[in-house]
Amino acid sequence: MELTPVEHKDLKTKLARLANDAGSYSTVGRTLEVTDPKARLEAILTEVDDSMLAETLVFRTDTAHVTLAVSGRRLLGISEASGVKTAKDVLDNAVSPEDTSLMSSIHDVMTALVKTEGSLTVSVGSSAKFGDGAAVGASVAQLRSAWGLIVEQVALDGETPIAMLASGLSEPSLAMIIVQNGEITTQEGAKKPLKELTSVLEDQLDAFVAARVAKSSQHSEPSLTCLVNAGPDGAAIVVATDGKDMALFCMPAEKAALAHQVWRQIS
Amino acid sequence: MVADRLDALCADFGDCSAVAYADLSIGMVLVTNTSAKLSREMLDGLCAEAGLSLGTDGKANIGSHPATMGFTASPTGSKVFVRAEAEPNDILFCLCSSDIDMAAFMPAAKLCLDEISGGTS
Repeated sequence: MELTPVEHKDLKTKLARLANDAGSYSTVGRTLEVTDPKARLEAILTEVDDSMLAETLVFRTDTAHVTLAVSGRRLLGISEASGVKTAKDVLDNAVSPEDTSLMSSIHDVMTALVKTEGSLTVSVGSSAKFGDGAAVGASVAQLRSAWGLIVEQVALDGETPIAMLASGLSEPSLAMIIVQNGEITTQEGAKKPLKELTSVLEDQLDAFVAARVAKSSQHSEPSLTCLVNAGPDGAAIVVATDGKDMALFCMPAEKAALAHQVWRQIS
Repeated sequence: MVADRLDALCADFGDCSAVAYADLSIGMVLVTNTSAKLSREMLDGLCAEAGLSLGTDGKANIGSHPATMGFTASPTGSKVFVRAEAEPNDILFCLCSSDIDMAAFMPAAKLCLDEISGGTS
């Protein structure tokens, strides 16, 4: 099966993580070399996200440990905890995204764990069945959302939304064209992607925007469209319009989500 | 069942309110998630918008190649479009809030579509 650029990047990141051996090994497992509580929580979620098999992951510090049951990149629940305050209903209770109380209780346990003294290690425990074996659990995305782990903000500069977008996306872009009040004010980047953007601006964009307005229930409101693999060598083409202001970017496909993040910050 | 798989994608991402599986060659939505409350007219409009963004019949409307996935973000929310790897006319379109975690959602939507289009769901 051919991987998409996003999946390819995801796989590359995982392989790089494995190759880097992000941590050292001790008798109690692999050390997660992070000390900040939030970074530790992120590291725990990364371990969950990397777990395909039905197994347990034991996270241990000098004074506490918590055993998570995981399967298929999802957290099924907590099977054991020691050295941290644990609500009665947490142990051996199958987590589901709808059970906000349990999601919150698990967050409390994990937050307490990452704040305890000593290095944080992870080891793989038994593959015993969790609960009645029917638990679906929660994905890392759901856990991140429920636990309030927000993506870092990108520094933006500029007086208009398009100028701010340009400031946030210029660095990762292969090429960009900025149009302000109908005039091209910036046109820069590598030759091939810049030629592609010029062609989009001159030959395609007006017809695309008109067709979108005709098909969409929303009219000419500011918008950003990102199309993965539409550009040269699998690159993404990003076009943003705000009245007479426009921005066009050609960027690596794996940066597509960044365009959405920056747009969210602006709008 | 396809609807179950679409429901699971929505359940995984609270910021995604509706997912539809459509065939671009006939411009028609085939299945939606069970809680999607969208009129046929609205579904047809979204399907047309997906075709416009991703490109149809091997022809791109933006760029030099039909896109494999994409999204449109506006102040009122985000629409995500995904094309199946094996069958370019099979697509998913998803209605999401502006807060959707796009980095996590796009691969998940792609996996969902490839399972459906490949007949494993």
